Parts: sequence; structure tokens; C-alpha cells
Amino acid sequence: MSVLILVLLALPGGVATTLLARRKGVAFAVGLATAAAAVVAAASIDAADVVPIAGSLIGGSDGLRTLGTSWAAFVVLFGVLDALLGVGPAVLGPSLIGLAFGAVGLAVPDPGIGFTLLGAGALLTAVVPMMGVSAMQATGVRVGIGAVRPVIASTFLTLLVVAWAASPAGPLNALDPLGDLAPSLELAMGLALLAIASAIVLRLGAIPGHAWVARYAEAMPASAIPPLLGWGAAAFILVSLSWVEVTLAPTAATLGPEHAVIGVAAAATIILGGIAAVLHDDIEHVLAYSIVQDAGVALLAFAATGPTATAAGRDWILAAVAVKAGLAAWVHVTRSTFGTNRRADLRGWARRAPLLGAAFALVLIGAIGLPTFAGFEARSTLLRLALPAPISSLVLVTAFAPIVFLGRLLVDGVGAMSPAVRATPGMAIVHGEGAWGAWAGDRTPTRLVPALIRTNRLPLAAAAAALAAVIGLSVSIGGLGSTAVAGVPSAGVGTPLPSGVVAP
Amino acid sequence: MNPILVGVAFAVTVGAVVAVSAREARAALVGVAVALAAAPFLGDPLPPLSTLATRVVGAALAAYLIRVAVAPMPLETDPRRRDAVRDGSRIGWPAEALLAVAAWIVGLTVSTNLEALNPGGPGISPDDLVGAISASSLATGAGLAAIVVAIVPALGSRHGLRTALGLLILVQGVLLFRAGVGGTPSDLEGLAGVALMVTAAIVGSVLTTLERRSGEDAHRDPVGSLRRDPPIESG
Repeated sequence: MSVLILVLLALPGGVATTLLARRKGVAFAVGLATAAAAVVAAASIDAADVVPIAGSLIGGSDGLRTLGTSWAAFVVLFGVLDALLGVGPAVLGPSLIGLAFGAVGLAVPDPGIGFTLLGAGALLTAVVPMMGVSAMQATGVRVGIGAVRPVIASTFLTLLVVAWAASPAGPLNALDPLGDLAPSLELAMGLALLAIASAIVLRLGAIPGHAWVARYAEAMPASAIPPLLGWGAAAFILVSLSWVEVTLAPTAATLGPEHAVIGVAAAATIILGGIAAVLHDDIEHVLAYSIVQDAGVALLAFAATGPTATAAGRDWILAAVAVKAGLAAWVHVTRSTFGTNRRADLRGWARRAPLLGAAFALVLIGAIGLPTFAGFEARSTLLRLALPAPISSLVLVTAFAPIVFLGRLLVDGVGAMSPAVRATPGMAIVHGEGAWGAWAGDRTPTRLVPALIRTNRLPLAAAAAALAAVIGLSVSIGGLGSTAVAGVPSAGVGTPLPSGVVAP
Repeated sequence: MNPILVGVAFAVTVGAVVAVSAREARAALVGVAVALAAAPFLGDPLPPLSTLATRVVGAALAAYLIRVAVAPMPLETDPRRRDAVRDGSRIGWPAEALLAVAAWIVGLTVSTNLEALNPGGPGISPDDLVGAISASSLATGAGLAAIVVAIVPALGSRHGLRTALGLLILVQGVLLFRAGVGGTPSDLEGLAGVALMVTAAIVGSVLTTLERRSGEDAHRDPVGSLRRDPPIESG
């Protein structure tokens, strides 16, 4: 029931926010209230709570509670940022709908339902915000089509694989538990694993499917990145991991060549993604390619079998998404505060905005990680399991590229100020008589709060970005643990579902 | 072999071919509407009435969302701006129809072979294509045909409207193929399919609207619109 409450809040709230987008004040009020309620609903998800609905089961889990609460919290934070920075509610509504679809997709044991809903959520969060971004009116078709293609292709691939698995020729029905694994079936299972990996490459923007990620990050506000390339992508990875865990892992298939191919693709993504982030000078591209690099690490979870790799994959994707959501918040506020995204023009930014500097430092720590951090351990585990030494050591070194491409931003930030940064007003909170700022209305006590918010919107946005960084770092430290997220993990339900997938 | 089901499957395929090959937007929308509305009836036994009604209403809503976004395109005489106007399928409807027929044959063969592997099935020989025609084989054939004709417009077109129409047919094709190969989906999966269909329609509507607006901007400022797009500023 607790998952259903989250969905029943987020879905209509998101639809209402989207439809009311022209009336910004009302849309923000509805959207932020819905998102805040969604945080409470997600935090109350109960692992033992299983509800039969429409011929299937919807159940909570500890992992879903962690993921859902983090996801909803970031929806709130980015909604607040969009309100403070004057971006408009174009992203908030689709983010809520994506949260609702993602929650259901992760709460059902049937991966066919999961992939279908996650595909729907991704399409919405990718394209609908373009209607509210004024700069998209001229070029939105190109960017929109570029985002739709990989999402629909990945959904298409995963649904085909799920259909095959549930067919009489799939491993769920054709596998002889007492006999040897037929070579044709083993070949088909290998192709299915490659299809799932290809879907992940497309959906997360791993090499060579990375171009659309960079274009999207360049064209859209930074608040549009986490719903599509962060939380939605994480949910997609989690459902994929669950499918592999239930369908392929229990068989005797070795899948050595397939794992090698996926390992090569993952290693290339980690190395080239890191290099690209180092080479680019604007903060949106740095964000985009750091996400691409994270996708490479997530892909490693499919290059190795076993519960250790699966658990590490779950820990990694949650940690990476949370930290990069914090980075997206920093990019969003920095771009709006200083009016530029070029590294050369941002010199001295941390001296002008110390709170942003503190937020960025937390993001840097989370992105690099420290021993005993869940994200750090998960990355090391995945590299050790998926790649042979010394390749794993080489790739591990490049996985620490955030030290370079994020570290130099921090070094630039404490250096001498550029003209653009020097021209920006300070970030101290304005109060007293100055709080009214350019307020033209009546100066009554009830109008003081809106006036304060309006005058101090940039410092408040910086504070919100710092909070996002704190949450991201916390999730990176704690991770998901070994708890499952997708499906109905501990309810003890063993009923075969119509798609042939037995609930774990 | 149920002739009504065969007729429904035929209608789905004809609708899909019309949707991706028609030059007129209205004709394409009719094709989409027929394909989407007929597909829920490709099942034996039919799903519960509530599920059926939900899928039919969802199909109608999806077609309507695209219809709303399609406005009369301005008459385009400048060949440099011709890309802003839909041109339909580049290979023409006969070639698209032949592709659909080929996909049908492959789909029937796949379904027949799967039926032969099914231990609880009627024991049909893999060579008996006609004898193996059933609701699942019709769904497989119609789904694969829709996928084949829609994959290029959905994933390869640069036009908003053409992408939207291809997207809808592709989604419907995947859902049909999934049902034909993997068995009748649960009601919740059916609802999820409706959600994906409506979402695809919303996305297609947004893309079509953005394309129409950029075309209107091009007519107000044809020279300016041909200049390289300026860098995007957020907010």
C-alpha cells in the first residue's frame, strides 16, 4: 500500500503541475507540495507491504525506500532551485510523473512491466520539459528526437528480451533442470545479455551511444538531467540487474565471450568518458561526461555474474546518481549566478560564493570516494570482478579522473577572480531594509517573506545546492547494501507470473 | 482459424503501413488510429472488458493527442526549407506493404516454431504455417510487421510528426510482439502498455508542436532561421 500511496500522490500531482505550467506560482505550489508529500510517502515504504493489483503484485523493499526517498528529495530540491532561479516549472511536473512510474516499475516483480513504465517515464522526462524552455522552441525538435531515439530503442530491446525469456524457447521454460544446457539456448542467453547491455549503453549514454547525452546536457537546464540520466537511468539498471539475476544467473551458462565484450565496452566508456570530461571546458559537458563515465562502471555489473557483482552494481548506481545529482545542482546554480559556463570565465567563483564552494567540495569527495564509502567499494569490487588484472588497475586509475576534471574547477574557484565573477554581486544574505530590494508592492509584514526570498534567491539556491551535495555524499557513503530493490524480495511469494518470471 | 481475428490483424497491418507511408498528415493519423484501436482485439480469449476498454480509450487518446498537435503546415515553396514539411515514406507504400508481408511470414514462422516447442501446445508441426494460425501467431505477425515498417520513421526521421507516428506504431508493434511471443500479459502489464502508448503520443505531440513553431519562425524570418543556431541559454 505504501508504494501505491507514493504513486497516487506523485502521478496526479505531476500531471497537474505539468498542465498548470503556464501559471508558474500555482504550478510550483502544487508541484513542491506533491514532491514534499512524496518524500514522506517514500520514507514510509514498508518491505513487508505487498498488494495484489490488476493481476500482479506491488511490494516495497528497504532498497526501494532508500532509492525512492532520495529520488523524491532531489525532485523537491530541483523544484526549489528552478523556482529560485526563474527557470519555470517545466521540469518539476515530468519529474514527479517519472518518479511515480519508476516507483511502480521497481515495485513489481515482472520486468516487462518495469521496462515498459521506465520507458514511459524516460520519454516524458526527456521531452515534455522542452515545451517550457524558451530556447528549445527553435531547436527542440532536433534535441528531442535525439533523446527519444535511445530511450525508445533501449525500451524496445529490453521488451524483446523479456518476451523471448517468457516464450517456450526462453530459459524460463526451455531449460532442463536435470540435463545439460543446450548450446542453442546458451547462445540465445548470450545474445540476450548482449541485448540488455546494448540497451544500457543506449539508455545511459555509454560509449559509443554518448553523443545524445552531451547534446541534451548542453541544451537543457541542469535540473532536467537527474530525472532522465540519473534516477530514471538508475531504476533501469536495477530492473536489468534483477532480470539477469533471476533469468540468466541461475543457469549453468558461462557466457564468457559476452562478458568480455561488455567488459571492453565498459572499460572504453570509463577511460574515454574521463578523458572527454577532462578535455571539455564548460561545466555542462563536464557533468555530461562524468555521467557517461559512471555508466561505464555500472555496465561492469553485467560483465560479471554472481550476487557480489549484482550487489556492487546496485550500490554503485545509487551512489553515482546521488553524487551527480548534487553536481547537477551545483552546475545549475553556478550557471545562473555567474551567467557563464566556461571554466576560464569562472575563475574565483568559490571566493565569490563560498557556500557553492563547500557544496562542490562535498561533490568532489563523493565523486572520488574514500575507502569504506559504499560507492568507492562498489567501484573497486566491480573492476576486480569484471576485468582481469592489470587492465582493472589501469581502468581504476582512469576511474579517478574526477580528481582532475572536478579538482581543477575547485582550484580555479579559489584563484583570482575573472571579470565575470567580479561583476557578480556577493552571496551574503540581505536583510533589514535592503531585503525589500526592488519590491514594488506594499511593504507589509506578510510581504516580507516573499521579498526576502526574491532578494536572496541566489544565496538560497546555493544553500539548496549544498543540501543536495550533502544528501548525495550521504547516499554515496551508505549505498544500498545488499538489499534488492526491484521486485518483491522478502515476501516469500513464489507464484509464477504471466511473463514466466518467478518473483524472487 | 478465426476469420475475425485475421481481419483484425490485417487491419492493424494496413493501418501501420498507411501511417508510415501516407504523405497527408490526416491519412497518416487515420492509419495510426486504426492500428492502435484494432490491436487490443488481437487476443483469444479477449481480455476483460475493463482492460479492453482502457486500451481502446488509450489508443483513441493517443491518436487524438497527435491530431491536436497537427496544424495546417504553411505552404512551403523554398526548397531549402522543404525538410520542414512531411514527405511520407521515401520508398512508397507498395514497398512498405511488401516489407510488412515479409515480416508477417517471419512472424508466423517464429510463432509456429514456438508452438512446436510448447510442451502443452496442440502439437503442430513447424512446417504447418496455416494450421498454426492462432491469436498469438496473428499478434506475433502483426507486431513484427508494425515493428519493421515503423523502425525507420521512429528512429531515423528528422521530422517531428513522422517520428511521432513511427513511435506510436513501433510501440504498438513491440507490445503486440511481446504478447504474441511471451503469452497474454497481465492486466497491469496491459495498463503499463497503455501508459507507454499515451506517453509516446504526448512526446510525439510535443515534437510536432516544436516543429510547427520552428516552421512558423522560419516563415517570419526565413533568412535568420537558416543561420546557424545560437548557443542555447537555459531559463
